[in-house]
Amino acid sequence: MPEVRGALEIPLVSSVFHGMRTIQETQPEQATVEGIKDARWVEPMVCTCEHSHSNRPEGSVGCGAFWNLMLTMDPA
Amino acid sequence: MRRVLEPDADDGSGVTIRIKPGPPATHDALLAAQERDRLLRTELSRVRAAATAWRNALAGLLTALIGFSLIKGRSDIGQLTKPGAVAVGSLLLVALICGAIGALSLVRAANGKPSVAPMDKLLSRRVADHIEALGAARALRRGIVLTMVCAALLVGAVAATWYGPGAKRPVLQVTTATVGTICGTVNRVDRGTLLLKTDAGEVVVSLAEALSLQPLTACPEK
Repeated sequence: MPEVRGALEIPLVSSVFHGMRTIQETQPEQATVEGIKDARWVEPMVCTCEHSHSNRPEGSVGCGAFWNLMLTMDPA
Repeated sequence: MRRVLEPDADDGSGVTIRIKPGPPATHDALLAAQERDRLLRTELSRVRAAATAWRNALAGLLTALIGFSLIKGRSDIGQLTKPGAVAVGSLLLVALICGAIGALSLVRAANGKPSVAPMDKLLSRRVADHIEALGAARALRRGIVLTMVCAALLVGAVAATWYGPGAKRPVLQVTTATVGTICGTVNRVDRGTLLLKTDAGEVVVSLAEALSLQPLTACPEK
């Protein structure tokens, strides 16, 4: 299992510019939280560490680790 | 966004986000995460490139419109009736406002806007770039719409100037050997005679006696 001791910064965003349209990603609950008691979604994550790691393909970043996060959004 | 990454974070919007480990990741999750990372890393440069391309294309469109207006029709709104002149003037004013806001929006999308941020409010570079990219995309859309509206209004103003009702009816100046020169608007032509409405009233002129006929936009001052 790859291991990274440095800090990773992975922004969690609800939309991203994609050509001439902005993609709303796959969490409809995330965009409209009002009135939703329990908005949950799974966010796939990949290590984006830029330190050197053995056997990493040329031109790529990361240590090879990937995982899922479960995010739960609760209105106050 | 740093706050979001902390468990049980409240970003000030009254929404609490809780983070915990998700289900085991598959190869599809890896591909999805890599694609999201790629899109985010290139987001700002992609929106800037799109804005630059749109700015150049729309500048070309407006330049083509100038060439289009070289095909001359009526070019002075003073020759229109007063309501027509007001309508054309309003179109030009709205076109100017739309064009100015649209151009500034396109420049803002392509180049960003100067800003000074207090150090304690600084976001990480990736988050700041994402926020700027979304702002640039909004400015790009606004710029495209307003520039197209500006072009449409300019075409409408040119068309209204060309084909709108004229302020004055054309007049006809007739010279005869017996009566001399008479100028006025044509009321009727009937059995070889011409009924002209002049400042002195209606005058009937025999076309057989006419030495010259000259259409004018206005009668010469006496």
